[in-house]
Amino acid sequence: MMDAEKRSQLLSSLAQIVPDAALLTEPEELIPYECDGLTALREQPLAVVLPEKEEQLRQILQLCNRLKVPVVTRGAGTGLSGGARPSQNTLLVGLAKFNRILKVDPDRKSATVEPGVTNLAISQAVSHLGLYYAPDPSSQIACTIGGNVAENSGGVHCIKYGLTVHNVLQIKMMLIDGTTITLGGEALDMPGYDLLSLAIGSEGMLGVVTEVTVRLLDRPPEVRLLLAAFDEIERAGDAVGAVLTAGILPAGLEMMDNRSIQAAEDFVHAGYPRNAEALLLCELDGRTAAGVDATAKKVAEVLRASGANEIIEAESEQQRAQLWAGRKGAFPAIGRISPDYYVMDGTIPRRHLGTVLKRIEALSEQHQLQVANVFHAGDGNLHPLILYDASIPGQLEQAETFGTEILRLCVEKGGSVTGEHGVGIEKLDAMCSQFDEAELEQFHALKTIFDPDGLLNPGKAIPTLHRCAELGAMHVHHGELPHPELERF
Amino acid sequence: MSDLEQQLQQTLRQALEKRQPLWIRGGGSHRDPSPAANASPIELSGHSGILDYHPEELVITVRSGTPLTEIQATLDQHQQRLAFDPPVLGANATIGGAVATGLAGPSRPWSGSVRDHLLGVRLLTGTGKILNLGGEVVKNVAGYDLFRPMAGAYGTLGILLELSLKTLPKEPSEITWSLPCKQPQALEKMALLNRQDLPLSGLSWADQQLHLRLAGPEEELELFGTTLKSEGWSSTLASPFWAQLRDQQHTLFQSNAPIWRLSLPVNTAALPFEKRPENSPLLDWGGRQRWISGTFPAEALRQDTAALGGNATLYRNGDATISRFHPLPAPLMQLQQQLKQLMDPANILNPGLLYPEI
Repeated sequence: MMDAEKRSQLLSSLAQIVPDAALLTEPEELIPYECDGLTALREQPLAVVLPEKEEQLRQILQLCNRLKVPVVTRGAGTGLSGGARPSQNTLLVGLAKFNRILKVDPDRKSATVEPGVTNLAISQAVSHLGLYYAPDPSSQIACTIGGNVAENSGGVHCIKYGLTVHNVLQIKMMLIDGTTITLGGEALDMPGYDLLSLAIGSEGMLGVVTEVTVRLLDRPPEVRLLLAAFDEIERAGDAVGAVLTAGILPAGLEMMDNRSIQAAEDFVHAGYPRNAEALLLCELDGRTAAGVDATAKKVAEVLRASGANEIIEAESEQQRAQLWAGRKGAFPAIGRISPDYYVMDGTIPRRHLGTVLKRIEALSEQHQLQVANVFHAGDGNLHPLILYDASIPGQLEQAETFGTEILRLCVEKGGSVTGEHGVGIEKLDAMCSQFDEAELEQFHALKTIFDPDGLLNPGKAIPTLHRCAELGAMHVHHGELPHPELERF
Repeated sequence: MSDLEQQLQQTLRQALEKRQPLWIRGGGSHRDPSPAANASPIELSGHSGILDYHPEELVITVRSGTPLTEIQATLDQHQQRLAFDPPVLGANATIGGAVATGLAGPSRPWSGSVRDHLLGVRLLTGTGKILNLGGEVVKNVAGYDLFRPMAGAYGTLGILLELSLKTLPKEPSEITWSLPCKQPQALEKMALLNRQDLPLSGLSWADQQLHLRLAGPEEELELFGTTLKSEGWSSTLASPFWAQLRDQQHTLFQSNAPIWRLSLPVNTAALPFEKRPENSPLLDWGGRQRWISGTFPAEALRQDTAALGGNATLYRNGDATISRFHPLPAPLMQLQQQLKQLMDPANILNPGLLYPEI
């Protein structure tokens, strides 16, 4: 705990920088900030400060740098890995007031915005120009572009349109000493090392993003949605590969298992075939009706040849929205059938989809916890939802153990412990299986270049070597575990 | 197919002990200058072979010395491609060189850059450590993306041993349209075309001709083709122009005069230097990448491009006293130096090839 003198010095100095209403110190005021979207892990910060001008932010960071007070930056708090969770020694800096769209340039198809602007607000601000911002995380109505940059967020359409890193042209980032640097630019490449790509996805550990310039795309005029139902989950998994090898790059390719289908159908009556073991939603887009129709026809053939026993093509915009509503409402739908659920976010090479889903099912039986799968199949990005009841002692811990085993399975198959939700505090242990000591050391050293005293979001994203050693975690690479003959999962 | 990893690691460790600068060489097709007078070559072209390729994954993992032509031939069999379409500057050109130099072909503005398609690297650092950064899956946000800056780092942060790259299905059809056009009109036409939503995969101007490549479903190409035809454009199905442009076979690249590469925001008007008739440029990437050849005052050229939001690289035949790459603002240069210090503290990997300071 911070000593009282330092605390009072910090708070009195902050009071000089921002108006009273922008400095929260009472426990009841701090409650909304004690966690992000990962609500299971909570802790109150020592204070919350809500600057609205860049100069205020600069003075806050310089003050924290001088007093050596750790800083946690927060956007909308929708993150799912605890990346914005504070601790009792940290000052939480909320950037929600930086919510202005600074410039829209229709000629260059770009927009420059402050970090607190929501993802969806960008697309809304440019929709009259026929343009949009492509990455669309499910939380896009609330999540901020600053948070998207921190997490390198993806979404349903990133199989075709890429992640945040592929759609951001330039950022301005303030370092802990108050210096602002500009990374990237409006030209397609900038001289020197590409620090822009390093900053994107760095989970608030290197600097505080103060401005983002994104590239905008022309909204495709023609969109089609196909739903394919399968009576075996492996067939649905194989169909994903079949679509891609047929030379088709869908705008979105999503999968749901039977438990998710049932839950979604009960919740939003999307019109899903209830008895299907798995369904695929395949969205196609393009510039001409004839072109997209031809592609849709080809996809339907591939899906049928892959064993789909029913294919529905949305016949109207309304039906398309309805079929998507089931997918988009799947998480809350699961929330209706289970008191709590824990969302995982591992990625695997797509060819292992079938095997991995079977293994998860086996783990589910072993842990006596049900699991539902709703995920970005086209990217191999799994989102198993582990259903549990936090009011039953031990179930949360059981769910966490189950989750860690799923992530280790992903690494064993050549994948990653996180596809889009970030490491935060949630996956620190899992990181020990994906990276070895030398790699983790390099990551820690990299942070010190930008943040020499480790004041920005400390303790997140990269586990300490000590932690990994304590865990005795096995580093897995290229699917090679020590003693592969032993059964582990 | 051979694995020289241990040998390379040993060579590096010996060099490290003696503080001997190394000149990392792939196929030698880029003709970059030797990084330091006393640098000894470390050859990567033998470290070759495709390690993993499952077409349904849209990912290929290769050793860095694998020839680009071998990778392309393999992808061709499955109707796939590297979407950044790297220049093939010689029969021996390697994928390691393509990634290290970070150059991309004519479709770059519409299908992405080298780093956009890089998923992970296996890297030998200047301290002799081998790191696996990134991975072999398209979605992976674990750890810092320290692998992406390897694209365009010219080997100064580490020796690329293995690379995982995203592949994409080939476009179902492709067509090239051409229109005779003078330079001032070329940029205007490009700006008009850039503003539209077209299935572009190339938009360039060379030798008084505007070239436009459309790629996508046949139905889309037909629709836009009708309009182009009515505007006086003529079409060819398979034009050799694009490969020649990509592989720098245009006469401009045969010049002994300095060759500059300008990287500019979309729809930037002609620079004063481009307007002098003897310096007819080569306009690529819908006007975002411009090649000019001649002796220009470097500082003025760089000021002009920077004022427009771009940068200027002295690509070839430069005066050794002029920085090849556009100078960086002090805080950025400091971060770059620190990154270099982290990856190669003894400064033995291609020292000075990017900037004298790194």
